[in-house]
Amino acid sequence: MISESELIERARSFDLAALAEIYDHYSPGIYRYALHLLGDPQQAEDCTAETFTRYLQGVRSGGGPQDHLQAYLYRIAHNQITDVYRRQPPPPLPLFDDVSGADQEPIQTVVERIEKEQVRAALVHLTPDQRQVIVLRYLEGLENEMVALALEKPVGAIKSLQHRAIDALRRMLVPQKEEIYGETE
Amino acid sequence: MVKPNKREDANIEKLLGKLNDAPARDPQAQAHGRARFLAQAKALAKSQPTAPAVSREEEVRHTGRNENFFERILNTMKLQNRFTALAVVAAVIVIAAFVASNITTVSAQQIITRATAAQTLPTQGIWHTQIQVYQNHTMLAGNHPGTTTIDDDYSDLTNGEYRSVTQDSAGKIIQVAAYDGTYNYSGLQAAGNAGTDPLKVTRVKAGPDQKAKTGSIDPVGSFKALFDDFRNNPRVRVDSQKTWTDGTPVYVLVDDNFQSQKGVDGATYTGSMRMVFNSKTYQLIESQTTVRNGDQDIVIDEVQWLVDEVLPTGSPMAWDLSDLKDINIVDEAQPATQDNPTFETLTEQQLATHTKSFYVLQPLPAGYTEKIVAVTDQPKDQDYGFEVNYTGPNGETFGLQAVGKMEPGFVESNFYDGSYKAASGLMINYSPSHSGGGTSAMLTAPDGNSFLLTSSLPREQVQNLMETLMKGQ
Repeated sequence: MISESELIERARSFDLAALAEIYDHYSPGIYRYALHLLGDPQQAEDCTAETFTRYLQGVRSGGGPQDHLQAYLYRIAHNQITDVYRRQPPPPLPLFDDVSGADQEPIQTVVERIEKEQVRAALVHLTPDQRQVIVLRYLEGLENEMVALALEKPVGAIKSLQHRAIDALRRMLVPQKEEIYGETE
Repeated sequence: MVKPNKREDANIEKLLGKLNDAPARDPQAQAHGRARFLAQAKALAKSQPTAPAVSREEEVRHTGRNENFFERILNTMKLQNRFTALAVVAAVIVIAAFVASNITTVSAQQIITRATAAQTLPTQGIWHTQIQVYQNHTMLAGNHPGTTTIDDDYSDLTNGEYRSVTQDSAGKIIQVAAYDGTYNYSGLQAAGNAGTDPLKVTRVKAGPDQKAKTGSIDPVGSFKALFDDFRNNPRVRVDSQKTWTDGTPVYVLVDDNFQSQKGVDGATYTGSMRMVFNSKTYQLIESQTTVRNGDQDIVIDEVQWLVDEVLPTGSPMAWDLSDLKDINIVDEAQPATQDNPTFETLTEQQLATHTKSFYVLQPLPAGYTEKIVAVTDQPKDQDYGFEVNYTGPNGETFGLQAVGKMEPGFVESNFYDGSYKAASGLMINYSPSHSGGGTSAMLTAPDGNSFLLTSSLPREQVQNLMETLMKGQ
C-alpha cells in the first residue's frame, strides 16, 4: 500500500482509485464509530456517507487534510454526531448481541451481558465529549494523539476527559457492582 | 500494592473493551456507500474547475443533506425498521439467554431475517400494537424497581403512515415519532429530564420518496417464526397449554438453566427465560428474563404485548398527533431540495436499454454471482452510471464502475503502474494504490469508455477474468 500522504495527494486530484482505497480503508471504522454513538445502522450509514461527502467537498474547495486523514474523517463524523446530540439526548450505547459465543458457558454469557448492560447504562450519563473520547479510545482503539486530532483538542485535554470519564464510570459502576454482586474485597 | 481505584479503573477499561463487538456492516449498504462516494467524486472532479463558484445552497443540494438530515433519517428509519423492531424486540432483548443454552444455536440474525422475510407478505389495514417494556438491568431487588414504558404504535400498512407514542409509568409522553403522509414528527425527552414541560416535537416535511416506503407485514408469521425457533431449542421446555389471565389459551415456553456456575466476579447465578405465546395465533404475549441472585429471582427484562390487532383500512387516526395534549409541535426549517441518490438493481437486459457500452463476464465463472446496480433517474444528457459487481464462492470480488470517457492523459497519469491488453481489445492500466493483494485499475474499452476496476484478486487472476469480459447486450 502506498503511503497515506501519497494517497491524500492523489485524492486531491480526484484519482478515483485512490479515493476508492480511502473509502475501503477508512469507512468501516467511521461506520463503527457512528454506530456506537448513534445506535442505529441506518443512521450510521448516513453519517458515514455524509462524512465522505464532506471530505470530497473539502478536497474540491482546495481544503481537505494534508495528513492524518483518519483523524480528519473522525473529526467530520464527530461534528455530525455532536450536532445530533444537540438536538436529542445521546442514545444508550447499543449492546450488540453476540450470538456466536457457542464455546462460552451459558451463565458466563448472561453475566457478560449484564455487565455490558451496566456499562452501557453508565455511559449514557457521561458528557458527549467524554463519550466520544471513550468510544474512540476504547472501542475504536485510537491512541490519545489520534483522538486529540479527531476531536481537535490538545492531548492533555483528551487525557483529562478520559480520566474524568473513567472516574465517573467508576463512581457509577463500582458501588452498583458491590450492591448487586455482594462483592467483598 | 495496587490502589483500589487503579484496580477498579483497570476493570472498567476491561469492561469497556467488551463493548466493541459491533456487528458486521451490511455489505450491500457498504457497496452502495462506496458507489455513491465514487460517483460524487467523479461528478465533483468534472466540475472542479468552476467549483469555487458553488453557493452554499448548491452545496447543500450536492450532498443531498441538510441540517435536519439526521431527524429525517431517524423518521425514515423508524418507518422502515419499525415493523421488524416490533416483531423481534423480545427476541433481541432475551436472545442472549436462549443462545446461552449452547445446544442449539439460535441466531438473532436468523430470527430477524425470518421475521423480516415474513413481512414480504402483503396485508392491508392499520396495525396497532401496545407494548409494555420493563427493564431492570442493574438487577435491583424489590417490587419492580426498574423502569416501565408503554409504546402505543399504529402503522397503516397500505400507505406508510404511522405514529408511535411512548409514555413512562406516570403516563407522561417521553417519545413520539409519526408520519402523516406529509410531515414527519419526532420528539424525545432528554435522559433524566422528568420535568413537566410538554415534550418538544419537531415537524419537518417528508421527502418525495417517502410515500413509496409502505409497510407490508405479516405479524402472525413473524411471531410464528419466533415460536418455532425457540420451541426447536432442546433446552426449552413447552409447558402444557395454559390459559392466560385474560382467558386466552397460551403456550408457555421456558428455558431454565439451573446449572450453577461461577461468574467472572466469583458470584453464582442462575438465569431463566420465559415466553408466552397465544396458542392459536402464535402472537408473543409476554417474555420475561429472570436472574437469580441468592434466594431472589430478579426480573431484569419483561416485555408484554398488551394489544396486537389489525384495524380496518381507513380507520380514523390522528397521524399528525393532534390528539396529544402534552406535546409542543415545532416546525423545522424546510429541507432543501435533495438529490440523495437511490439505487436499483438491474439485469443485463435492463442495463442494455440504458447503455451499449458495458461488459460482463461470459461465461459466469463457477460459483460467481453478478449484481448490476445503478442510480435511479439519471439525467439523459449524461453518461449512464452503473456498476457491475461479481462475488466469487470464497468472497472474492471483481467490480467495474462505469466512469465514462476520461480526459486525454488522465488514465496514463493516474494509472501508471503497468498495463495489460486483452484479446478483445480491452485495455487495463494499473493503479499503484492497492492494498491487501487486491487490484485497482482503469479498464478502457475500444470505444473509449472507461471503467474503474476494483478487485480483491491479484493482477494475474484479474487478467484471466478480463479475457472472459464480453460486451453486454
